[in-house]
Amino acid sequence: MTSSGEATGLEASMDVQFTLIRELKPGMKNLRLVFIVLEIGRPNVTKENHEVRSVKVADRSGCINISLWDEPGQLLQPGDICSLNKGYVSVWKNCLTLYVAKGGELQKVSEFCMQFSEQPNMSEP
Amino acid sequence: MTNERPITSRLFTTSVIEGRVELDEKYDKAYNSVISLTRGLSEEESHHALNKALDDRKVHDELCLGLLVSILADSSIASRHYHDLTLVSRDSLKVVTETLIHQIIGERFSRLSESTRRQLLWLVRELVKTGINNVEGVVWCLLRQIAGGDVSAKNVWLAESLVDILRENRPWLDKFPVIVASVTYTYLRILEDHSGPQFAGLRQKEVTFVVGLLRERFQDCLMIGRDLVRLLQNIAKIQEIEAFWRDLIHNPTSLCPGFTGILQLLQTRTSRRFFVVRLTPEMEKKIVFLCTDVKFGMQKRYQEWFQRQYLNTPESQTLRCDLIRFIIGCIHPSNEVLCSDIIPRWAVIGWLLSSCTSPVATANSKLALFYDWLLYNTETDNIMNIEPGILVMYHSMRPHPVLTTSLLDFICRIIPNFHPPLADKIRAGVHNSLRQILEKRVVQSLEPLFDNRHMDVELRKLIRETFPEFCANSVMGEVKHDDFVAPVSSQSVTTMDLLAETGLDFGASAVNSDSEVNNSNHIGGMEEAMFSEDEEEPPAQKPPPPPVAKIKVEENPVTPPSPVAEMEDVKPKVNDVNSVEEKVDLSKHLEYLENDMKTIILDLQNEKDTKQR
Repeated sequence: MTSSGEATGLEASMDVQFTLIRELKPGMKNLRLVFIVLEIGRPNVTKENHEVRSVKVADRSGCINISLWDEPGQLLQPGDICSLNKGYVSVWKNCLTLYVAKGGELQKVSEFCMQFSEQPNMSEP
Repeated sequence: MTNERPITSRLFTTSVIEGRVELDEKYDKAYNSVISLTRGLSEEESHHALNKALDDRKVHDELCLGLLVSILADSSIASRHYHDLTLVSRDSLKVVTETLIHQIIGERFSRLSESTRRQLLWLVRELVKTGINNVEGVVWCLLRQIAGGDVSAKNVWLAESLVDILRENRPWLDKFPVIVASVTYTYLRILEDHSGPQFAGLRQKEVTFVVGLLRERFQDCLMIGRDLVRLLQNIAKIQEIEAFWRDLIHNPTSLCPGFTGILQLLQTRTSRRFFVVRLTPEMEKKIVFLCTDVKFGMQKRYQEWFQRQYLNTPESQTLRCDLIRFIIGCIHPSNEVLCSDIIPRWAVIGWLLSSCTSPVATANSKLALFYDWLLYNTETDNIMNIEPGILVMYHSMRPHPVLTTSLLDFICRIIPNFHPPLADKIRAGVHNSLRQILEKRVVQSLEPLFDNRHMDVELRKLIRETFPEFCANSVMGEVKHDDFVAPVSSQSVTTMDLLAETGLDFGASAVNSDSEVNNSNHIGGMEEAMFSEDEEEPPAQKPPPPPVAKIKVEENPVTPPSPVAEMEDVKPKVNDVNSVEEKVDLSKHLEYLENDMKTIILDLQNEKDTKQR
């Protein structure tokens, strides 16, 4: 779950502002985002018996898939609006994917009342 | 990988994704100041300590808050702390009631832990018993939290707890006419949900209580207006309600001197506050968001989420009427919204009507849609309450013709059947509505609806008989365009119409240029929504975008299979071209439509919904 690629000087200063999904590029980390959950994928069970889910999330600028481990993936519902800090993006199986770094936090803040766009889909290969 | 950090809250439920709320810090601080001040002291010593500290206003507020938190969090000490509160409060518990109304109950009710909720009701009972200032506001907030269509244990418990408090404190309740009316409205409505055998005991309690209010405080209940009749009709099978109904019809003055009868009630428009009291703040927030912030064409996911959360069970279908009445009566969009590309009210209502899974609820929802038509009075009624009705019919003609025909059928039949002794008045009311609709140019003409030669012959006859003055008797009955015959001839336009046909998500109609119909672009007018003529409108009527672009916006692929499957579950009789064959190739349907559309529609129209009352 480590981020691939090193952070550049520019990206290191990102942790204070919110990033739009459309702006995400591989290697970015320390990200703060706010998004709404569109779809929750079925869980895959890892060798260590963790559940991993691919969750499609979106903000006004676009959508992306986030990989969620265990409880957060179990608890979230489509329509939940979440705040993420210490997110990072990386390419997995050719698709840009969002992750929660160790020490990062995904919190549900609200439901439903957020405009979003499903284009562009940043996780499209 | 999971974060270990203290996420517990005294009052709220928490989880890995929902930690403490912002208020928790404030509450904990307040709680701690109370505890530290009174720990180990006897009751009398506590009072002394508290009183001394309260000289400072800020400290007063914090200590009252702390006592409140303690009462809600800890049943073992609640009595004592309530007693403390009543003795030491210098503002008649204003901090307490305001915190309850705006913070605890307001929008966080669903996050209260179960024990907090129990304590809350315990406290409200004490507040009511003590007759604390403003507790009626707290009660009103709690009424809203009794969710319509929800027969979960949690919700039923709330309904029962509250009715017990109110029953035990009638003299208190009687002092507040608005609360009497709101309570009556709520419990008449909720009784509809408590029809199952497992609710027999609760139902009896509620019936006895609400009929007591109706008979003893009828002058207060009168303020509800016409929707009182609607609610009574929905539970008219209950013996005591039926008895009350008989008195209402045949012996009105026995209920209240000066009450002339049901007509008086029906002529009184129901205030918004009653529509509001039947939606939880959460539901309200979401429906308002849907109607004011979601673009037409983008509503599908929001509707799915809303449906999944609130409309997913057989018992929950009753909520649709509450939603429709709320949208009609409380969401009156500004001209700015009306002129924008936000999903119009009629489309949201169309969705609520067409996704209903219960025939009874569907019939009641149609009545809810047309309810303000029945005795429409230009002086006292509002055009915004009748506009959605005509527009649902209009805009459903192409994508969902069966909805239009069933609504037309409904409005014709309701006139003699709603309340036969008043048939003439109701006829006049509906005619009034139509006249207003034409006058204000909500639609330019009723011809496409009333004089449509492609419509079922029987229905056309019924319309002519019901609305002769709105039907052309001249040969000029020839309809210019916007028939039931789908105008599809080219593939590109067809794809979009089919999406609407099968998805029935009212997303396509905005795209069709119905030049006879004034679409969502209403321009002009200050207070009243005024509707301009088509010619004056800017070309904001977007031409249908190339289907490829449009489809990209919808995140589902174009092929009909999933919406069809949905619709098959929901409504077997829907005019769904695809309902006969299941998952089919789009291109096959193009031909199907071109050749057989008329026949299909006529066939399906002969299966039309009959009004269920």
